[in-house]
Amino acid sequence: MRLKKEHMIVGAILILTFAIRLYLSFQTSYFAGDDSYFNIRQIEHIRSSGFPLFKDDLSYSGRVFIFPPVYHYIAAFFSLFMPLEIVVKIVTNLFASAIVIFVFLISFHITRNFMSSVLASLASGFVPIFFSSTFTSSATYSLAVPLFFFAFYCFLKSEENRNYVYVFLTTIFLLVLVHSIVIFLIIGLLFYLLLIKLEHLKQSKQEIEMIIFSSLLILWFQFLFYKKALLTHGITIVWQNIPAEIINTFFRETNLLEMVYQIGLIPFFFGIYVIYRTTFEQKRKSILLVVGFVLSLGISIWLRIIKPEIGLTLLGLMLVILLSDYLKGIFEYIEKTRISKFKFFIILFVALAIVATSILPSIYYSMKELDNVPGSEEINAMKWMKSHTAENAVVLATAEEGHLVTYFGNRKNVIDSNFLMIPDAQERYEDIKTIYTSSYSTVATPLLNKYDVNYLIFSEKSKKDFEINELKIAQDTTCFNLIYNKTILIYKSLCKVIAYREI
Amino acid sequence: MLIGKFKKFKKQHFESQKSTYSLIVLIMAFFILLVPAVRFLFFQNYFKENASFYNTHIASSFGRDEKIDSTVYGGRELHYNPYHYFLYISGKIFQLENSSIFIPIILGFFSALLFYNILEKFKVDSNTTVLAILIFLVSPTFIYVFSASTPLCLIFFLGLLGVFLFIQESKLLFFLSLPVFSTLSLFGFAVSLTIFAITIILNQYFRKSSGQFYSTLAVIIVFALVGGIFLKSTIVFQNPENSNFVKEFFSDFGGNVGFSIFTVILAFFGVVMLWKNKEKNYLAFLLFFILLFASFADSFFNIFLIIPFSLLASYAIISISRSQWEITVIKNLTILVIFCGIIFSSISYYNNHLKSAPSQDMITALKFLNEKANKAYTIFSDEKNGFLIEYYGGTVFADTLFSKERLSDEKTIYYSRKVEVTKKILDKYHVGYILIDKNMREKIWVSEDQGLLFLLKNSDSFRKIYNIDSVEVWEYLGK
Repeated sequence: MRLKKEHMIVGAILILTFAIRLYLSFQTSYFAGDDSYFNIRQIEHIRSSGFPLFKDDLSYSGRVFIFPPVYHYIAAFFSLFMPLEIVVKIVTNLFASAIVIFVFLISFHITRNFMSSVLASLASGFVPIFFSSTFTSSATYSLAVPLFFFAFYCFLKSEENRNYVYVFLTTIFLLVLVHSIVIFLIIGLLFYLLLIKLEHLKQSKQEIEMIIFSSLLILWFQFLFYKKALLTHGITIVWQNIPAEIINTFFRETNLLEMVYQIGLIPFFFGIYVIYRTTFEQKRKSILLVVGFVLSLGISIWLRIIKPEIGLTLLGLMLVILLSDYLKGIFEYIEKTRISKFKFFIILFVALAIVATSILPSIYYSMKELDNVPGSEEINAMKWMKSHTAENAVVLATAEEGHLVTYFGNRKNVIDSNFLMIPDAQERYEDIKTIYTSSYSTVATPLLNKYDVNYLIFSEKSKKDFEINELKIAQDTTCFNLIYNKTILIYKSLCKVIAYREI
Repeated sequence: MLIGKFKKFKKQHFESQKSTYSLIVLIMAFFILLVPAVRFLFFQNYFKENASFYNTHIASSFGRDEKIDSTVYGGRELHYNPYHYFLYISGKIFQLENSSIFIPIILGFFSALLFYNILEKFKVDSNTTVLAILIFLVSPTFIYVFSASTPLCLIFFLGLLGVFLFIQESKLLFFLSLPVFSTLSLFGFAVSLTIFAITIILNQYFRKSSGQFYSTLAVIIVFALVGGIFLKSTIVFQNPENSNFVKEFFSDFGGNVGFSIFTVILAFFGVVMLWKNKEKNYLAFLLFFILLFASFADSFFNIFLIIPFSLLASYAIISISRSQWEITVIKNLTILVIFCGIIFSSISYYNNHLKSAPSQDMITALKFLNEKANKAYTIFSDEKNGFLIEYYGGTVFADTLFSKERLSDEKTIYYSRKVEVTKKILDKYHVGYILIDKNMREKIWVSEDQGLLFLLKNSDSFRKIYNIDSVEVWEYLGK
């Protein structure tokens, strides 16, 4: 009976998380994040042809994509039963909500305390950065993050039950095919080995075997997937060939205050406290494992080798697990005191504190994220292009709008946010910046000709990205004809530079 | 009687096992080295590496007893090394082009056998030996060294031959090692110094009389000085690129003479496992680490590292397979992943190597230039195409061995849109033809209206005389 009640409570947290996510997600018909539309295009392509679109004629006017496609296959499968937009919203949020189950299982394994695990589970469903970056997007890491924690759970359980070793290996294999965050699983496990060595604790042979095998497997798969990109970009593949001017947008520096907000006040401070306690007082292997991950992720965020939204998500969830250990200590202590009869109120207080510091910030950040979702004006402009421009037309927009051009407009773009395997990404970005910021059409036209641009989109995003209020080159009406005039402006590029003789 | 028979049987069994392993090594080496030969004989009847063009061209100059390389504008002093002599002599029998292709392959074949015999002499157990040779044979370093016509193949072969002869008990064989070491020392100070260090280490394991030992060291020093002072040999084995040591060190990142990342990881494990014996092998470890650091500075040293890397990686795999694991399935899967990692890395390297420049278009264009162009004029192209143009008989503006001054003029030609400036430099170097290929278009210019491309299109001083998909040749009419 007791077990059933536990299941029901965790189930209720799962439903609550999923329901809030869905409610917020359906506040818009569109998706946040330029990547979402890249993923949706891939899912559609899988549905129609059975294969992902690795060679794309539209992105960068023709390029090769490199990505692991399992998420897209799963979404494509579900899209057989309902419309794709709904599938993406439901499936993504369902995957992301599943994190509450895994965090509960991990916390319960570590603490053997039901209430602290439930509260950790509640906090994990609402880590602000994870919640707000996945509730209305088609992000592959919404699947990768729960899988990451499931693998983590299997690793913990493998000492008790050998079957978990095989489940761990299968999960690792699946995770490799979903997202490259699997690398951080290995880095975390290696940090754990180091901590065990430093603390002179007995190392389990089985764990070492699992770590060796999974490290080699992951390394090999990453080399297989990214072989061409490695040869093209070398070690700088870590930063995905993002142009220097915008690398700070993708791999931005994260300050402590931002960390606190994005992770949640309570998990952050109490998680850190548990790390302190583990370092100087109690030395438990299961906690050291979590601490190993916290350290590796903290260093990766600091060195900016992981995107902050992914790094902070993983770090936040690890701290939530540590929070459960802290709460367990508190509850056990209370049991021994006279205020134990108020235990219910104390739990309620902690739950309310989590609501205030995790759930409300998650909702707040999500509402803010809704402002970044492309509006119907923007989408209509892209759709307009599909019906009013030539099929092989090239459209210039900002990097963030690139996938919108290809998805809604079905037209070639000059740049988008996937820079991998683009040899001249830096140069393209600089050229586009020059086009948008230049005052002279004589400067912009050769560059537009260089990329065979036929149409140029001027939107709020371009204003924000290039810090401009107007498109100055458009004043030259002989070269630029305004053909779409709403919130978004679309110009047709008319001029061709016939090489002027400087000789 | 019975014991005697048993000993005889054991000896016979051991001998047959030895010959089986030797056969395996030969077959493996044969198949791995077959690919460049098949490519040359049946598909692309030209060299693959720019350095091969250079070394073959220098060997042919040796035949003409030239002191100055006149295929470079203004001439350049020729520095021969023993490989060029060797290539020239075999070229007289089998033709230079055939020798350039087949000598590295043959040397690779014998190097594999020598490596096997050396390991046997060191009493390395047969499984570790066979595995080390497998790793050695599929390593990108081996593939590169023995598929391109560069001095590396001879250095590597002579190095192994010298070691093999030096460690034999027979005095005759030991004395034969002296001419081998002396030839090696003629390749320059880097090779001499490495051989010098290796000899000291070998003496630790195979004690030679002090006379033998010091005479070997003396021979190395004397010939290194002779080589350094009189030959000034230049070892050209790849086009120097602007890349960092990580890229050069790992073949997976694009390094020509690099190592597979799996081999490096396994070698690291091997070092960790053998570290407990460091007192016995401290000199060998010291040399290994010195070579490792040297290879970060210059990828030339990679050829010396491939032997310890193969051996250490093999030792690591054997240790993994012999160790007691809690979960046998994981152990077997780990070994499988290791093999897959090493082999896939090599396949990928071979694939890229075969696809690499020069293209058939380039060779056809160069043959066209050789037939039609006026030999009195210089051909302007990217310095990376220099060796190819020289090989096909053209006088080249610059190659990768050139000074910064000439390369600075090259840059001015690339990017200047002022015809007077460009013409002045073209006249200075007596340029008559300009060769532009796809690589240049992709890497030097970003648009058709830049620098030289703009001038070629718009100035009357240039006329296109040849055009295939990826290569075009322009004639400079102002000459």
